[in-house]
Amino acid sequence: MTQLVTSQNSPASHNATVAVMDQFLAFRLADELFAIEILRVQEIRGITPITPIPNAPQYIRGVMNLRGTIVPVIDLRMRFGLGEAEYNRFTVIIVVRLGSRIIGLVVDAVSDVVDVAPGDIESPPDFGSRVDTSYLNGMVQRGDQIILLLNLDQLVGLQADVASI
Amino acid sequence: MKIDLSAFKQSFLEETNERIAALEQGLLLLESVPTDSEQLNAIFRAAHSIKGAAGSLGFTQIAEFTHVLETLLGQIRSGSVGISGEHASVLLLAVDALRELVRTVDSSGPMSASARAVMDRIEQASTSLAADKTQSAHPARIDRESPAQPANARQPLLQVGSRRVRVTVCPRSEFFVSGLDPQLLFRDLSRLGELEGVVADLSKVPELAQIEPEKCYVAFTSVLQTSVTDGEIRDVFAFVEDTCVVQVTDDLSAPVERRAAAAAPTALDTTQTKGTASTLRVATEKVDALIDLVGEIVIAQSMVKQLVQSSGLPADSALQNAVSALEHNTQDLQARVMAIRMVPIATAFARFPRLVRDLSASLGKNAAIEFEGGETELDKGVVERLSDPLTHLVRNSIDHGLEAAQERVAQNKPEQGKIWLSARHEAGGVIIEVGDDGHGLNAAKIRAKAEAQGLLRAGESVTDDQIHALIFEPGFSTADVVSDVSGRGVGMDVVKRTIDSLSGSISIVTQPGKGTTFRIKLPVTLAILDGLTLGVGEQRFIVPLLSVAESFRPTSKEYKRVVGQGEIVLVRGRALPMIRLHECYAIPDAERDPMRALVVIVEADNGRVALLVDSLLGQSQVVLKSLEAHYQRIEGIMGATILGDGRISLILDIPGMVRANARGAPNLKPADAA
Amino acid sequence: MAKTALVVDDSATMRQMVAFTLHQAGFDTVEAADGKLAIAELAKMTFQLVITDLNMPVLDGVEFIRALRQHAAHKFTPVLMLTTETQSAKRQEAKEAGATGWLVKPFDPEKLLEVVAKVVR
Repeated sequence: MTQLVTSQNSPASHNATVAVMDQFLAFRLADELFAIEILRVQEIRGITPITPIPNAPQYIRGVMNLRGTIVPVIDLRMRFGLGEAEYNRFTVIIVVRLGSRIIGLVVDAVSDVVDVAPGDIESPPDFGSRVDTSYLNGMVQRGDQIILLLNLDQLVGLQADVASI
Repeated sequence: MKIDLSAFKQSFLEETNERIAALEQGLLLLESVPTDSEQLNAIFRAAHSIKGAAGSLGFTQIAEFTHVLETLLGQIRSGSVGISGEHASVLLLAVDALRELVRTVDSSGPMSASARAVMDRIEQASTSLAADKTQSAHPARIDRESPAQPANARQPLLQVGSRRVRVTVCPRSEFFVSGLDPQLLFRDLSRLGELEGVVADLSKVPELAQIEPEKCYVAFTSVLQTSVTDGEIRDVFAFVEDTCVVQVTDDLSAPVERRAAAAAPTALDTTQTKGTASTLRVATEKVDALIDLVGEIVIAQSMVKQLVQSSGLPADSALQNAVSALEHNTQDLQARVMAIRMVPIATAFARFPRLVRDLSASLGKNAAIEFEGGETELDKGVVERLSDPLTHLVRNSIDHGLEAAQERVAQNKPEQGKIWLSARHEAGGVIIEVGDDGHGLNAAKIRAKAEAQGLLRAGESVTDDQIHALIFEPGFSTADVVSDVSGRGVGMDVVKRTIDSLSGSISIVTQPGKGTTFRIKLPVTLAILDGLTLGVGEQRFIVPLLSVAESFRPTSKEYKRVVGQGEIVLVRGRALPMIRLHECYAIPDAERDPMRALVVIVEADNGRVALLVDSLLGQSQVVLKSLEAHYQRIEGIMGATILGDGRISLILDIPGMVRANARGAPNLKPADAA
Repeated sequence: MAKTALVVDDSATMRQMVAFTLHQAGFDTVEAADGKLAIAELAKMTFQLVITDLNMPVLDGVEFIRALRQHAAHKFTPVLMLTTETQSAKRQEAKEAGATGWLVKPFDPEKLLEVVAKVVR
């Protein structure tokens, strides 16, 4: 998978003989489990006040104040059409890096950090998930659970042009 | 050890572009005063420096090119006739070719045909100059196929196998002046083989009382068992050829004695140029990071202030005082940090003398350009983005604004058309004007074209200002012949968009027969502004204080709904459109009845509107944060800021809102509205 | 003991390159953009090596070398001039003014260090 961002924490060794494990952060949305590369995750926050901005797609709820930086917030349930949910004190925002941008993703709850070897990744299922496969990079099985790996770059369709009122 | 110099490429490219600009500037100045020796030296040095750095970093094409350029400049410099018009033209072509070479520095392959052609022309000019002159400082030319040979490279004699060599070194008495130590010579020799002892010849040493400590009186002899060539032995003495006599003898060849050849000294280059002020070159990313950090300090400080103020402590308590001092210093810090990014707009003006010269020539017009207020300072980023719009406006003035020479004379105007670029500060913003004394805008022609394009309905009543503003519509152009330079109609709308994106506005002042002036208004800095906080329901908005005209609670006489126009507010008899912020931003719980709410009249160069809000919540200095960093630009919004309580408040862009509102108006809408 | 070199050239790129190269050889460096600024630096500390361009504004290389040799602490300091092959006459003049050796531009870092090794104790 493409990695637009190299974190300072990334392991330096590229020893071909040792199996390289990628780490993913898994989280819940409706009753499905998703995951994103942990290297892209900047931090995890509880729900924060969101200021709506005009002329944005519905799934972009607005912007939030992240220690002085103004960061757009995307509701993943709305993005994937999984039905809206009320934000409560368990709702979590995962702050991720996409290239030079920082974006917040609203999810139901955060799950575990999962180790995934490249060989574990299978093609996403054509059926069984409500999420459009163009947003997915693949899936892994952990026990009887299926974790869908999200393609972050597809997630945020920001236009190059200006949004007009 | 291989040392990697690729890190210096960026620095080299920046510096080279600066030198190319200096070269060009010097050439333009020399066109008026061809024998100005200060300029001749300056342009020579510019080419020389580029060559040196390019060569060291391996940019061979640039090095080659600047080498022939330097040769010609050197010839011109040492001649007595200065720079001829022909030379100037060739050299300006060289400037362009050089820029191209720098632009394509990463592409592989041979030099472009056009650059090669210019290079040939320069060499021809050089050759004919050399032929003309009887005595010239004509420097040697490098062979294009091989890299420059160091002057001290020698042809080694063929020696094989180990042999004994006797090396005698007789330094002249002034040997030490050059800072070389004879011991170092022998140290280097000892690295070439086995040095069998060094014997000193003290015969020339005078009595102790006569010894001058800074003179050398001792000669040395040594025998070296070595298998290196004589050339390599001689290399050790490369720097001391003229300050000592060296003999290298062995059994296979005749002793070689070398003395320095005295070369004719040339005139010393002691040009005095203006002293450069002490400056520091800092990457813009560093400055931007610093500005962001200071912005955050300001926000944190205002949070502290708010917490302390609501803490109930008495107003003169030590803590309150400390917080006041903190605020004061923070604001000072912020102002100074912002100032770092400010540069004089003259940097954007710099390209115009050349541009006007070239354009006038190619368009057959006679034009001269004047500048005013070049020292006006603006944020560096803004100045950079202004470059293209200003260029287009100047092009437009020369191409369409100015009349041909005869026409001007016929109108009793001076034959030479005048273009001017001016800048000045005004009430928290900067006004930049691009003007000409040409024939002004032809409203009738514009109108006709607009009607033909469907931008205007025939018979529709519009003001002259509105007609003039049509030239900013995409695709609009009244040029009869689409010239290469302008007239394709793709320029003016881009100009406007760029100015808009800088939160500025552009307006036109024109008089038929007299001329046209484009007036650009820009905020001075895009990062801090004085704002008025507006409350709408639970949300907060900020408008720049400068754009606020007045605010009031309308009475039933002052508020009206007009069929086909929406809601308006009457201000001293004039009707202004009213914008419901709570509708634009879908804010629940806002006051919907204008007569129980407040109306804030805001104005921009392009019009006035009334904003319907719940309350005014005070003035403050806010740090503008761009939404583009992590999201994207939104029309009508300049950015956002973080209030003292941590909430985000959007900062409204008034010109943008006026524009958006106007688009909703029935007039001036494109007939085929999407 | 740390060796410090004074690097004089009106091109910031050249100065940085030379300084960078010298650092690899264990030198500390001080930079100056022209002869006049360089003279000011001479007063502040003693250098073990001076590398200077010949063609500079304000005070050019030859004049600088001349002034440097008048400076008590730097009378015998090794001075390398950066020159182009076309400047042989100027180079001669610089030698007469007291330059120790020279490097012909363009040069690579390895060559620079070679020449430095020749003249520095």
